[in-house]
Amino acid sequence: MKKRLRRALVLVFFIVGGFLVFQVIQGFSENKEAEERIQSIPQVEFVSLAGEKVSLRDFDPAKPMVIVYFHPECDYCKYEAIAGADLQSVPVI
Amino acid sequence: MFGIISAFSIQYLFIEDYLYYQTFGEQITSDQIAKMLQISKKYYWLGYVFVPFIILIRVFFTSIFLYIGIFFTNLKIEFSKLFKVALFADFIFVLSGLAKLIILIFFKEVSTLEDLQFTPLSVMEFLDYSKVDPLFIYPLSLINVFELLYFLVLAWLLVGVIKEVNEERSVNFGKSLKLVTASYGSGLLLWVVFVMFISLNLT
Repeated sequence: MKKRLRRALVLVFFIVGGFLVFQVIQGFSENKEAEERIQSIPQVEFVSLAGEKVSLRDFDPAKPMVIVYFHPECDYCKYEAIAGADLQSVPVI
Repeated sequence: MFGIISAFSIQYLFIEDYLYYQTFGEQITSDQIAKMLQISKKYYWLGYVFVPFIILIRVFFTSIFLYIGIFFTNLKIEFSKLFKVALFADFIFVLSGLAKLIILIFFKEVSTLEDLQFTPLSVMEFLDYSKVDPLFIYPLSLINVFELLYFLVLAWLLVGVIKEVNEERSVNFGKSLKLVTASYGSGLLLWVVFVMFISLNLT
């Protein structure tokens, strides 16, 4: 009886420990992959304020770029985005 | 009691309002920091209430794993005796708190709240915090001089208890240390992996 209990305890330890170690390794590698993914911006297309299609490919990758994401119906946000861009003397799309 | 005194000393000597502003100033507005300060001042006593419970849980955890370890040998020791051993050995963490206080008073400049969160004489103290993945900060902080001392004191106290209970089967310090490493060490390992698992799932 004591022997069985000992074996069961060792088994539980390895099952629980193994599960946790596996989850930690998996979660850690997923986080690392996600971190690497967000290092570069994906090539996306969006609509400019003038209604034209714009792709990130159209911009010079050597120059810094600021993407301001705002609600187009929010006038305040629109003015703020344009004013911010003017201050930095960057084109507003 | 020493745990509460240590927590109170750090709170009284080092936690100032400006630390909150310097820590969170770039992340949230000053109004939010003021609100945070108000809440922390209102509930700061809760921190002291939890200290005895945290110590009790730690002692209970150690004694449970020692008990399991003893179960694997053919020795017979009551749980209450192992609880006493773990409680006496916990005094090492009082020394750790004291060392932290001394380092904070004489050797460390405190400019943000993060400067207060460190484990004295740990591996983490020799590494650059910004270069270590947050997941590994806790395990690396656990590898410290006081944890090592805790293992040694547990083994030393256990020799005495085993001698007292099993007069015909006394063990030497080396064997006792092996027993502590296998029992409490395994428990600690499981705990560290569990904490890493939780922090991965919460972030």
